Amino acid sequence: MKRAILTLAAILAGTMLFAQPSGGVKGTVVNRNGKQPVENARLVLMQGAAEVATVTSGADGTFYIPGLENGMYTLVIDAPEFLQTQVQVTVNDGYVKNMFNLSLTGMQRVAEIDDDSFAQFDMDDSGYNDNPTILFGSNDVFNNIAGYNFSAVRFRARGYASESQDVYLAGVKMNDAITGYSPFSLWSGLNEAMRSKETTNGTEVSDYAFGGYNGVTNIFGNATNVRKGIRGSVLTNSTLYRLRLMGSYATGLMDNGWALAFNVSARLGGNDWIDGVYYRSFAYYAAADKVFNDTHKLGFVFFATPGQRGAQNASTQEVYDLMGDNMYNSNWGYQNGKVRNARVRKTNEPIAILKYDYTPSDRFNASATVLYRFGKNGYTALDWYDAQDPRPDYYRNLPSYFYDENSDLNRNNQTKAFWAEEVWSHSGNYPTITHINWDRFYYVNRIQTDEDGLNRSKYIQEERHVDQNDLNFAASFKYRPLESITVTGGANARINRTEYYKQVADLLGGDYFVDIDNFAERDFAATPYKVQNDLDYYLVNGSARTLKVGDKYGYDYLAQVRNFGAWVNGKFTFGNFSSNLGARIGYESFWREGLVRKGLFPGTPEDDSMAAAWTAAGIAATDQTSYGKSDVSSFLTYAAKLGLNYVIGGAQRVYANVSYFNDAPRFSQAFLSPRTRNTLMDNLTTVKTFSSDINWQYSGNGINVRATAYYTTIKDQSKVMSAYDDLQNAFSNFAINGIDQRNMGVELGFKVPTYIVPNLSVQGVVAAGRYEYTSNPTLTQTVDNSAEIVMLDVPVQYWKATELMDGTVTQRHYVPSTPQLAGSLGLAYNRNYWFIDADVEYFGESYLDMNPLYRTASAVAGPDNVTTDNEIEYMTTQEKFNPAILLNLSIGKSWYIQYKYQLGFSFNLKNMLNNRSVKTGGYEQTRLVDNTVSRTQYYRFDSKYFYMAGTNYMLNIYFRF
Amino acid sequence: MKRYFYILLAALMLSPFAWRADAAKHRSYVIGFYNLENLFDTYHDEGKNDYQYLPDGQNQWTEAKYAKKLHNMASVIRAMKEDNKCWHAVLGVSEVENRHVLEDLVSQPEIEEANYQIVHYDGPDRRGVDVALLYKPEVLKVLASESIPYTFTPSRIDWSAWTKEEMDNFRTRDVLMVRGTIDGEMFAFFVAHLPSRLGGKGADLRPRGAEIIYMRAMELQKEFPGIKIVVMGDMNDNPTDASMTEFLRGKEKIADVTDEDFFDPFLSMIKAGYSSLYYQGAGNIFDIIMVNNAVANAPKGTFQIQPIVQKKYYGRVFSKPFMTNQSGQYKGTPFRTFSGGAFVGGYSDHYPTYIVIKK
Repeated sequence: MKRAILTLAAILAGTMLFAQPSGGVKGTVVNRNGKQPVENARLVLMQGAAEVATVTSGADGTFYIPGLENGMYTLVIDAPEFLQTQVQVTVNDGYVKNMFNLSLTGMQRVAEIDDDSFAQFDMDDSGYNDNPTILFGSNDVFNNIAGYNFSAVRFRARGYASESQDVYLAGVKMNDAITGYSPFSLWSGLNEAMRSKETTNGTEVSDYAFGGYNGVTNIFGNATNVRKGIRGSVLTNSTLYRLRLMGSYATGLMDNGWALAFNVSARLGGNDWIDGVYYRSFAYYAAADKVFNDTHKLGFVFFATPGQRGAQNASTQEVYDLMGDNMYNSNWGYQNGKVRNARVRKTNEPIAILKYDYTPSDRFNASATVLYRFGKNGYTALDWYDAQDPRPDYYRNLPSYFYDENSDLNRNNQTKAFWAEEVWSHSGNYPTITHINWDRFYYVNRIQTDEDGLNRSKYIQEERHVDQNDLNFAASFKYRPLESITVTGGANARINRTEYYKQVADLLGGDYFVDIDNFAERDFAATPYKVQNDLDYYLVNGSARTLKVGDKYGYDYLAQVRNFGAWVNGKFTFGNFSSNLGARIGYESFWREGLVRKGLFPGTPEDDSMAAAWTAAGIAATDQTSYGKSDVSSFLTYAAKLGLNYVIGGAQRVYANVSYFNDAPRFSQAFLSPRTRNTLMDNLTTVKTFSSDINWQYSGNGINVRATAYYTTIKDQSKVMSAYDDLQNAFSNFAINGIDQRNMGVELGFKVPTYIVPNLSVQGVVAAGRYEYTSNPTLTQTVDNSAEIVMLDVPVQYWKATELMDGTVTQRHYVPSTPQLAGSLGLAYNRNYWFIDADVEYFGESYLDMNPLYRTASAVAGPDNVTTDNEIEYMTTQEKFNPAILLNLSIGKSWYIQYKYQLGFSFNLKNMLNNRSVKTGGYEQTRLVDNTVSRTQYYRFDSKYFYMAGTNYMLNIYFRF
Repeated sequence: MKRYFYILLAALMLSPFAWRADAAKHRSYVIGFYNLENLFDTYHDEGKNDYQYLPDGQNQWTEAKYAKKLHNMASVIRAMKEDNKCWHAVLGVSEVENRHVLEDLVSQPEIEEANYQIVHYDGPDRRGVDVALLYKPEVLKVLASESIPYTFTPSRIDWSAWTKEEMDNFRTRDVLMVRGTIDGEMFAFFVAHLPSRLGGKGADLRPRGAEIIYMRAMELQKEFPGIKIVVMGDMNDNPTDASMTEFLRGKEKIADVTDEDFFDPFLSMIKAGYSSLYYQGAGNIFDIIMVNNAVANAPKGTFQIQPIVQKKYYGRVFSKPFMTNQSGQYKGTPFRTFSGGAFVGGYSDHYPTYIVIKK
């Protein structure tokens, strides 16, 4: 029995032992100052007012209180010479709570506080003058709306040329060295890699560049700035290409100091609106950054976007109307029943970047970049020899060429006009006439059999190359010696060697083509050397080169450009007021280097043997030469900027900028006829720009508003264009000098919550400007076939206005191809990762690009050289486009899945009213009808236009993790 | 003329001494709040969802990163001391994992000399993070503290859209209340981190948090007449939002404050364009500190809130260039610990805020 009781007791005790709660608390008591363990500290564990346990810390400061129920406890720790410390402890789910170190503060340390560590906050001494830190710069409301919504009508902010927008990659200016064009196509399709960027507006100075008067965009492009994770997206749209596939992967900065990033994409297929336009473009990007000691960062980037895309061409309204389609594209035709585009851009221009960043402190950082761009850039076109212009919409193929009501034009053949009209208005029945007739080219080329049994192509596809070797160096720094002063600055150098040449892309069924100048052949058939594109080859071989696919021909020259510059900018803050003052100085030079000697402009013999050879061949030396190095044109450039900024408070600021620029002209504006000779334009001078703006901005409480007034003058611009001239019956070059313009206007952008419906905002922009020409430039005309100057510095008398004989101005002339009045008003809804934007847009006051020839006194006066008001108005009036109203909608939503994955889509519907009569641009032909009956006036050729697509969509689905 | 010059000179030379004498009479203390943006240690806490912040977790939260984070947090507290020439007497913090990280923080060499003591309760939200109070023991004598749970009753908010189950399952951070004396005057400090803005039915959660604080504060005023109350925290709402103006009765002007109201110094500051954090380029002040009437319109000779910025603002948002992104898409906003999932070694997505009381 006793035994049984004992056993029972033991069992009970055992169960009780087992039943003891598993929770507890443990930790180590240490001295805050020095982290030595505190031995013999008394730890009393309380639950409410009840004492649960009391323990003492061991020699190593540790303690352990087991057997605690779940709940909240207070641990009171006492040790001699230390402040009593209370610790709240929660025991959860029966776990032993590890408090790690519990540090005690020495009583003495608290007592012996000296004046310094217990100094008192004193109002008079250190009342602060902090200013509100509103991010006025980021998310500019005007640019956000205008930049996205207005792109379809080729809206250009403030009427500035797109070349004036400075685009930088990794601190290097990427605008084309030759033309100044925006370089975005170099990385199109690499959206993820190039997403991270910093943008400034107007004349604001960027941290990376001094910039011009139309903003600076600096794309970082390095591995660290690519968002971490894996992303994939599928995009389809109806105006450019059917499908875009894109993937990216980035590690972010890893613990080992490396960051890696990759991005690839493919853009494929045609579209709903323009036949012949297609993409077959690919893109790849790889980048690595390595950070050393948080101070040094070395980055390497390599990317390219190899591929090709079919281009669109402008046609006259006559063609569009006959076709019943403003999206008609004359660039393509059927070959064996398949669509083939004659004009294809083929590019593969890789870019390699090495960048070093130095960040020793938050007060100073600097970086240096070396960037190299190289590769091939080709653009195909048709070329022909001894044949009529094969383009389907050539003016001689159209009804208007055969019949016109105006008898003065002497176009009386109604029958032919009828047939032409029949053909063009039933295009589907006559595709070989209304589109390029590839099959005929092949047929014709295959019957041009020479004595060797080979076929000399009459029609070929050429590829015009502009192959750049662009080496850039840029360095910049940012230094903040005082809280109130920030100094930025930098230096840059650019060495650009661009080769311009043509090569044979396709012989279209023939066996060869011949490297001669068919325009020259018309005038100089009797003087074979003058017809040669490559005179030296001709002299050695006795005949022009026969060309195979891939052979260079026509012209071959280098554009050599060298730029050097340095800049500095200081930003000073005094309370609510800040200002910046900056200056830039540079030296730019360029020259042409002919790689072949053209028969028309052989120049002078280089040595006696050459002189002898020339004499033997009857070659006359010329002053102007096509071969070798031209004169070097060089310019000192400079610029200065002043900005004033005052934060009013209440989320408002006013700011103003003035700036002046003295910029070099570009290579593409400087040579009279770079394809044929080294001749520089006379009077080549710098472009002088003055720009000023005043702005008011409000950014707070969900409201964003910016209002701006600006005034800019741009003086002494020049331009070179080439076209066939009917008066000279020759391919002609027009050089225009001294174009002045004035761009002034106001901009307003706003986004304001509706307050009535939560998360619904009203947003809109207004851009009202007047971008007009303020000078009559001068025109110099030459023809390719001779050194003779047809017109020398002839005033383009009707350039800036249509001015009648008595001085009445019937029309001022405007900077073309952008609406001078644009507005949008819309609603934006944003909630729970949903966004819905709907807006209506208005565009007006857009003008057609003018050709200077039509504004000369001689073109206006006509063959009789008598000027009448009718002639002035007819010839010089600038076409104004009809205003347009568009309706757009975008919807998007993203979902987070398990806090890890993100799936989303965005869908845009543009031009919902399906407005298909919106002209987005175009040009006047330079040609004149001169063989009239009365011989009193000339007639214009019809202008050519581009139109905007009707209703179109884009759908993007993306996945990120 | 010369005589005046000498008098002026003498006055100028004496003025620092005059100030010193003055300073001895007056006492002023800095009271602030700082959202530490996920101050996690590298260990797994049993029962807590801290898996993102483990060495092998999504954020690869290693000792090196943790050490950098601690250093950064301490550097900001130190930088405020350098600016103010004195340590915060009381500093409320949010987004701390546990007491351990607070121990590590106050032991950082940058701020160890301040001897900060810790009041911290493990919160009920096992995924979430806690609030805590750091204080200088020679200034604040702590008498009591409590962790006020987030409940739904009693409330003047209409909760009919919520089921009982939803309410029972809703977990968020407790509000911390610490009561003690400063120079013999009774103070209570509330530290809160109200539910975040995730949309949906959450719109009432912050007003409810404000209501909980307000009700407890009014009880304290009844229990301890004349008690000085400071409410601080990451409210996830702006001073202009209803939670702060209606439920905590935050007033813009001291003159308008009664015993039933609070004075919200950051109300005029957000209107002026000050920000303690940014969301999609727009500024907010979620890091709000309010005081009750006993601090706003303090009886003579007791602690009163002081203007500290531009002689008219009673609060300060503390930002220095080192805490701020100097470039890129987020230029001008707080320099965070992580950006787009990658550790960038910054500080916090919030700037700290503070007020000064003086008697």
